[in-house]
Amino acid sequence: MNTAWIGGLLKTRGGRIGGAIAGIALTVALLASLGVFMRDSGASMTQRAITSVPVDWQVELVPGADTAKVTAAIKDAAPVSTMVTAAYADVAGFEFKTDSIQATGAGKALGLGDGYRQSFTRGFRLLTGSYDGAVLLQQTAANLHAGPGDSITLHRVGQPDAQVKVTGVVDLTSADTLFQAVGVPAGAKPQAPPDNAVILPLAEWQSLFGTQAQSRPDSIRTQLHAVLDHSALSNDPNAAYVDVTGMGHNLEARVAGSALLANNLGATLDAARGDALYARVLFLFLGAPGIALGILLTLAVTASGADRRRREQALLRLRGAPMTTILRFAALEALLTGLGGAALGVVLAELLSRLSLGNTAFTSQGALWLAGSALAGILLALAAIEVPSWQTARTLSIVQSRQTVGSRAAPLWQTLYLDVFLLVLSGLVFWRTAATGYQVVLAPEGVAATSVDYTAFLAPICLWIGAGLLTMRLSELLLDKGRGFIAAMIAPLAGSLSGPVTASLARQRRRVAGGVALTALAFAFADSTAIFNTTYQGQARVDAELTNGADVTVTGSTGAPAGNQLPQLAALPGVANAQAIQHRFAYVGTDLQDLYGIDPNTIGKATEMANAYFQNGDAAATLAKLAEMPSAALVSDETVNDYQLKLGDTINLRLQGPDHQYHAIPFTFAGIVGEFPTAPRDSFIVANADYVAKMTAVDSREVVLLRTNGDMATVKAAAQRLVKDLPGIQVTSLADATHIIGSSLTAVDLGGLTRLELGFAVLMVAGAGGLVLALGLADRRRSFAILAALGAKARQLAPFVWVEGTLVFAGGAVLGLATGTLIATILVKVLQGVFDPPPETISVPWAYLGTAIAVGLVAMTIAVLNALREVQIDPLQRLKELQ
Amino acid sequence: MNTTQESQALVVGKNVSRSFEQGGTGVQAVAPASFEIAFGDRIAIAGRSGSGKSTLLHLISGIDIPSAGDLSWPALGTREDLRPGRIAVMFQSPSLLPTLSVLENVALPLALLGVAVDRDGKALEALGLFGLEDLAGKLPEELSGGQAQRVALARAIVGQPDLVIADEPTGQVDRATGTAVMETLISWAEASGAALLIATHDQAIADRLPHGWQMDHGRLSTARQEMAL
Repeated sequence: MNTAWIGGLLKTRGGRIGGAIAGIALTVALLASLGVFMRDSGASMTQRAITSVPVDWQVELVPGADTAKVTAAIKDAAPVSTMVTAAYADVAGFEFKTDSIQATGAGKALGLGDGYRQSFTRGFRLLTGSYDGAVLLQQTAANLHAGPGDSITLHRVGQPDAQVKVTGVVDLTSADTLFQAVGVPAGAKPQAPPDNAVILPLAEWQSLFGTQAQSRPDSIRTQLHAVLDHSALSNDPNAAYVDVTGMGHNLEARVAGSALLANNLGATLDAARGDALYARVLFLFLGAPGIALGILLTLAVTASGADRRRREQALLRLRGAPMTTILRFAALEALLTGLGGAALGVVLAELLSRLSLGNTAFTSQGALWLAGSALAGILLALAAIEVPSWQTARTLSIVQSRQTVGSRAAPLWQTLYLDVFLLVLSGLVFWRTAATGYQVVLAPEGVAATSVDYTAFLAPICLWIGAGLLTMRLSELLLDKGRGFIAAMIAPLAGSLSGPVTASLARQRRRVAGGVALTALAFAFADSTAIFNTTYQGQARVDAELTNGADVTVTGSTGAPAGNQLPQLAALPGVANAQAIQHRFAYVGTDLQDLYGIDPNTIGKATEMANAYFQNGDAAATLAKLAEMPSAALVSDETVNDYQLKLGDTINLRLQGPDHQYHAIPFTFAGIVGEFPTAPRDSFIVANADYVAKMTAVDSREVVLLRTNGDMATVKAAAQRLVKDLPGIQVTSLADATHIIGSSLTAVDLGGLTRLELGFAVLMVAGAGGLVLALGLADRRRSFAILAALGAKARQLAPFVWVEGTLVFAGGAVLGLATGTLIATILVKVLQGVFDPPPETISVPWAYLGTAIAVGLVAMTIAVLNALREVQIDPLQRLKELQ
Repeated sequence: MNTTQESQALVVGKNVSRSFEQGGTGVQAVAPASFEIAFGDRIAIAGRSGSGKSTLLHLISGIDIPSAGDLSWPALGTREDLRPGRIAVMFQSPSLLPTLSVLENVALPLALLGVAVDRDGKALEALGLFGLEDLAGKLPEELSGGQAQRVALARAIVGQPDLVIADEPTGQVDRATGTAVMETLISWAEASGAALLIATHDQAIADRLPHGWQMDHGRLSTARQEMAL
C-alpha cells in the first residue's frame, strides 16, 4: 500500500515533488554552505591575526633576574617554537661627521640575538644594504644623512662615544611593538617609538653596551622574544584569545617579580575576536534572509499542492480511511521530499564549497553543519506537508476539504496589522541604533567577554518581514478593490475577457499575493545582499587604498625619490593617472610626524579622497581650502588638542633642508585630517607640496601614486622593472595592502560568500518567480482545459496566464528592489563598524541586479509559456486526467 | 442563421469512427457510424455506461477528432468555427471554473465570443430560465451537483448556439427537477430553432425528444428504439 502510494505520487505528481525537493535542497545547501563558510572565515581571520604579529610575546627581565629560570618558565607556560634575546640600550645621541656634523637627539640601540631576523620576519623592510652589522632606521639615516659604509658615532650613556659601521638602512614597520614599554597598565597611553635607533647583532651590542649595563643599569633593558606554536591554537579567534591570554597569565604568575610580559599575540587576537564577531553577525544577517526565503519557497511549493492533497485526503476520508492512514501517506510524501531534498542539498553544498571556497565541506566541523542542515531539510518537509495534513484532518470537514477557493476571511496578521507594526518597530529600532552611534559589537579591550547588540538587527529583520507582509496586503488590496483598474489596464491584451481574468485573479488573490510577496522577498534578498556586498567590497578597496595609497604605489626616499620617474610611470600601460607626493618628516614641537606634500587639485585623480578622511566630512571643501592657501596645513585631532590650535593659527614646523638641518617653516592650520592614503594611524600633517618644496628648497617627491585601468599586477610588475635600479624603492599594490591590514574585518575576503549568496539569490528569484508561478498555474490546468473545451483560443487563454505572471514578476520586482535597497541601506548603517572608513553612499551593482531581473523574467516567461501549452493539449484528455 | 444555412445539415458524419490505444491494444470507442443532424432536431442518445455516447458527442462537438471517416458541419463551417458560438457543450463532469462566480461562468461564452454589451443581463436571463438567478453571486463550490449542472446548461444556451450537446444534463437531479429542466431546454430550443443532442440514461427524458439514437458497444443506431439500459 505504502509502495503503491509512493509509486502513484511519483508517477502523477513527479514534477511537483521534484519542485519541493529542489526548494528543500536549496535551503539545505545554503544553510550548510554558510556554516562551512563561517568555519573557514573564522579560521582565516585567526590565521591572519596570528601572522600579523611581529613578536608574539615580549618578556622583559627585571634587572638581576635569572634568565634561565625565566626561559624555563616561558616554555612551561606556553608551547614556544622559538625564543631569541633582544637587548635595548638608551643612547644619548647619534652623530655623523662628513664635511659637516649631523647629529640627532636621544635614541635607542637594539641588539638582536642570532637567528632573530629568520624567526621574526614581520616588520622589517630593508631599504638598502644588509643586516650584517649596524642597521639604521630610515629616519635616523635621513637625519644623519648616512648610509651603508659610513661610520657613525654613538653617544653612550655614562660611557665614552663608540663608533659603528653602517651596513644597511631599514624601515621598521613594527617599531611600535618592538620599542613598546612592557608592563604598563592596560589602557595606558601608548609610548611613541624612538625617532632614532640603530639595530646591531647581539654580540656587537654586548661589546658596546656591556659596560653601560654595569654603570647605568637603568638605561638597559633585556627582553626574550618568543614565537608561540600556532598549531596548538584554536581556529576561533575568541577561543584562541582566551587560550593565549590564559597562558600569558600563567607565565605572569610564574615569573612574578622577575619578568614582565607584553602579550602582543593576545592583544591582536583581542582585536580580531571583535572583528570575528562582526563577521559572524555579518554572515548571519546576510545569510539568514536567504535561509528564511528557502524555507518560504519550500512551503510555497508544497502549499501549491495543498489543494490536491486536501482533496485526496477528503476522498480517503470519504472512503473511510482512518486518521493514521491519512497521516502515514502524508508522512511518506514528506519523507520522500525531505530525504531527496536533504541528499541533493548536501551534494550541492559540497559542490559549492569546492567551487566557491576551494575546499571540501566534509571536515569534522563541516560534516556537523551538513548533518544539521540535512536534518533541518527533513524537518522542513515534515512541517510543510505533514503538519497541514494533520490540521486539515482535524479541523476541516470533508466538504470544506474539497473546496478549491478556500477561506475568504482575512488572516490574523492582517486583522492585527502586524505588517504595519513591524515596519514601525523597524523604524524605531533603527532610530535607537542611530542614536547610539551604531555600536552593535562590543568587545571591551582586555575583557574575555564579547557581546553583540542583536536588537539592532531587529530593524532589518522587521523591515524584511513587515515589507513582505505589506506586499501581500497591498497585492490583495489591488487584486480585490482594484479590479476595475486592472481590467482597464489589461483591456488592450484581454479585450472582452478582461472582466473574467480580473475576477479570477481576485478570487485567487491570496495565492497570487503570496507569489508577489515571495518574489518580492527574493528580489529584496538579492538586492540587499548585492548592494551590501558591493558596498563592502568597494569599502574594502578604499580601506586597502588608504593603507597602500593607491592601486599601485611606488615608495622612494628623499635620497632616491620615486617622483623623478613620474613621466615614465605615468606612461606605463594600464596606468590611468599618476600623482607624485612628498613624504617628509617634520617636527611639531618635539614630536616628529610624517608630512605629506600633495597637489590638492589633482591628488584625487590617483587615489580616493573620501569625505571620512577629514573631520569636517567634506573632502572637496578641505582640498579646495588647501589649494587656496599655499601655507595651509591639515593636522591630526591629537595635535590640535596637544597644541591648543585654532583655525588660522600659525604652526612652525621644522623640516629638513638641503643642508640636512631642520629649519622652522610657518604653516597655517587649516583643518583636521584623520586618515590619508599611506599615512600612519597616529599623527601626521598634510600640506601643499609646492609650498613645502619652495620653503625647504628640496623639490623631491618621494612617493608616486598610480591609478590603474588595467591589470594591477601587470602595472606593479612594470613599475618594479622601471625602478629596479633605484636604491630602496618599493612598489606595492592593493593586493599587498590586504595582508598589511591584518585582522581588520574588511580584509576578510567575502568573495566566497558573495558568490554563494548572489548565486542563491538568483536561484531564489527564479524559484519564486518561476517555480511557484508554474506550480500555481499547473494547479489550474483543469480550468484551462475547461476554457479550451468551451472554445477559448490560445490568444484568449493567454491573458489569464500572462496577467498573473506579469503581476507576480513586476509587483515582486518593484516592491522587492525597493525593500532590498532600504534593507541594504539600514544594514550598511547598522554595520558601520565593519567599515573603515564608513561608506558615504551605498554602491548599487546594476549588472547583477539586471541579471537577477532577467533571470526572474525568463523564469516567469517559461512558466507562462509552459502553462499556455495546455491549449495545445487535447482538452478532453486533460479533463479525463484531472478528474 | 439564414435560409441557405437552414437548408444545410448542421452535422454530417459518414463512417465516422474513433479508436484509442489502451494498455497497448486498440479499443474502438465508436465503430464506423453515419448520421446527420439538422436545424431544430431534438435527439436523445442512449446507451450503457462506456458504450461510447460521450465519445460520439465529443466528436460531433469538434472537441475530439475521428480516427477515420468524414465528419463535417456544412451549416456551421470548419472545426475551428464551432466553439464558442455555433455548438455549445455541457459536459458530464463538473465543468464550471472554480474561480468565477455563477454569473461570470454563465457569461464566459459571451466574453469568449467578444460580446461587449450586456453580458451579465444575458447571463442572468439564461440563469432565470432555470430558476437560478439567486445563485448568480455564488461560487461553484457552493453549489450542489444538480445546481452546477443547471448552471452549466445555462452557460451552454447563453450564446444562442445552433446545436446544444448535453451529456447527462439531469444526472444529478431528481426526476421532477430533471423533467422541468428538460422542459425548459426544449422550450428554449423551440424558440431559438437550435438543435439538441442529449445523452441520457433516463427513458422519460429520452421520450421527451422526437428522435432517439442508441449506442451499444460503440455501434450507433439512429433508428428510434426503446432504451436498453
